[in-house]
Amino acid sequence: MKRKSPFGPSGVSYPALTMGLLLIGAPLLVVSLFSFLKRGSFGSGVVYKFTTDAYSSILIQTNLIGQHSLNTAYLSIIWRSIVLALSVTVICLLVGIPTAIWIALQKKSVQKILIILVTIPFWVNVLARTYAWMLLLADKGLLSQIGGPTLLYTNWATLIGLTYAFLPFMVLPVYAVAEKMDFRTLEAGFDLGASGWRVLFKVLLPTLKYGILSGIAVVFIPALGAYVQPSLLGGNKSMLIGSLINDQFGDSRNWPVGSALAVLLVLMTIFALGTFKFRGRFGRSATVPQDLGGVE
Amino acid sequence: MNTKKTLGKQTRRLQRHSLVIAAVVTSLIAAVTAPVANAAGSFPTKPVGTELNLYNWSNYIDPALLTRFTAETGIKVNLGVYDSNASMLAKLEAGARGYDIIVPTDYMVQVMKAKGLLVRINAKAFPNAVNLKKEFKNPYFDMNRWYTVPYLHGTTGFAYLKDKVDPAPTSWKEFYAALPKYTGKTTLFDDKKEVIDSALRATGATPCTSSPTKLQKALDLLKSIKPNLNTLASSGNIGRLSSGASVLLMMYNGATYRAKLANSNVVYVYPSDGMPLWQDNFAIPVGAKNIVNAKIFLNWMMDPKNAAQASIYAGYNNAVSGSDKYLSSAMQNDPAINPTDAQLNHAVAMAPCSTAVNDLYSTLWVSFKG
Repeated sequence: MKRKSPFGPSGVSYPALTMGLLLIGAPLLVVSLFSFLKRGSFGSGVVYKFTTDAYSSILIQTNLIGQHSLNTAYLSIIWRSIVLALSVTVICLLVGIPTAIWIALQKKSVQKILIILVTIPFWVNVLARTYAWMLLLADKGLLSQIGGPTLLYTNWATLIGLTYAFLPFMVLPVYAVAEKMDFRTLEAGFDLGASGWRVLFKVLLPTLKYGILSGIAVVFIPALGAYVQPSLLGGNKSMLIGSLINDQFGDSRNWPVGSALAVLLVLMTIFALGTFKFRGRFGRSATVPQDLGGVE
Repeated sequence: MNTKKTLGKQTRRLQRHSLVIAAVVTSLIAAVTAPVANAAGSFPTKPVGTELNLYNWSNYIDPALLTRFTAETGIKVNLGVYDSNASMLAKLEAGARGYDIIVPTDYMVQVMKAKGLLVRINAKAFPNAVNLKKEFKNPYFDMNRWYTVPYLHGTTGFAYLKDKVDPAPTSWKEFYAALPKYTGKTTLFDDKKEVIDSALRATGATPCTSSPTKLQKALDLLKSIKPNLNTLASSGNIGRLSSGASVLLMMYNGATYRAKLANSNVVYVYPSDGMPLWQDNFAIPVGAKNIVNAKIFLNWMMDPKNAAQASIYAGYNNAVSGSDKYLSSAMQNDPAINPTDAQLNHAVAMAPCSTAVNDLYSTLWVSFKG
């Protein structure tokens, strides 16, 4: 006997939808609202008066002498964040896809163990793991002891830390699709005379497409707002959009600008998702893992 | 029977009247005497409930001290921690409730006071306030101590390893000039105000200046030494210095003292071109639920023995006279903890910059970090 939800077949998802709307929608609304408000006294907090000052101060900069110009400082920070997030995504793609396929090709029992191994890092807090990388990359750390360079406090360290943190987010969704894939289609491709590259681009990658797309989304988007790894591993000497937002709510005491930057980040994310053509089948074809590690 | 009844009624009415009168009189007496009693120092000695929520800087109070407070008063202390004045302010302004005591730094007291975020407690009337050193009774940010009780105070200077750095810099000017010699082994705080203030001092200007040319000069200096820094960090510097990962870096005096316990080559410098003297304070935020317990804690912390234990743990001096005798002689004689008068001459208490100047600092900071 089948039980029917009183609200129809989709009714069971209402609680989840409500939670989602409340926990994601409400903060977003507040942030959007704050971005159009005036700064509070002493700079902190907000005054409920409409203004677009926050957005104009992101675009137009007033230098120390009081001259106005296009705000290249913020633009270069945003640009740097995008480049970093893209690099992390590309490395995760190059390493993550082969890993996921290799796991999918193992025996079922082995697969289970391998997937657990991939998720083991999530058992430890991201901050602790980042500190572990500091020890490895530091001067007189393990890497320099075996003759490698001292990478701590360089952009390379940031890149390594971020790739390490986000790689599981690429492996898991690609694996989820690869696991269901019929690998005999590859053999069929070869049998029909296709070259290795042709099979890769015409058979393998299209089949894994939605896993890869969800992987890109869950790697690129959090990497764009990365904060922990750049400040601990990268030496904190150049700003990223994440640290810029943090600074606006903290030291700079300018909540509206912090909110406006956050809104900008959301818009950039939506734009990125749009270019990946994520509509429609996104939800159906691949399981998107939850953000287990609390990576921000 | 009738009369008896009437009499009974009257008596009862009379009784009721006298009850009302008594109540009125009592409350009148209470109303008249209450302020007098307060001023005379009828300090709450009995805790209300057993809870106290302390919101403090991380790693800034001896856990054993809190345990002893609980043993002596029966009040349990729940400790929450933060890492900057700004994040504490942001949290309270965002509506966080449930904290009974916070630990704002001098300038932040002024900001929070003006925003109406602090409870007026008249700390001078607390029994142990007699122990306060004279120079801490009327600070610029809280004249008459209406809102705060002093906790620890210190200075921001720089430190170096004497076996690695030669010649030793004595001013911010020399500090910045020496950084290129120790590329990759130098650190500045990730703190806009401290870094820009020190760069202004190094270039001969005073902090909180709004002069574009002076700010530009500080920015140029900072940009020129940026490649010599390993990192900008406000925490972890004790380890960096004692391990030699950084040999010349911006430091607090107390943190330097703690680094010196691990490495005897550590030296703290009071820069001759000026340094900030900062002071952290206990205050009760508006919305606190356990105000009586908070007051008992604040008073307890002005006891010399307790203040001394706080100093020994954190490595910073306190404002309570009579606490020195509880400090170890090593600590008493360490110039990082107890500066000479000549050294202390360089240190000045710093009022906050105006919001306009703070914005200029932000612009400068973003250009520096890029």
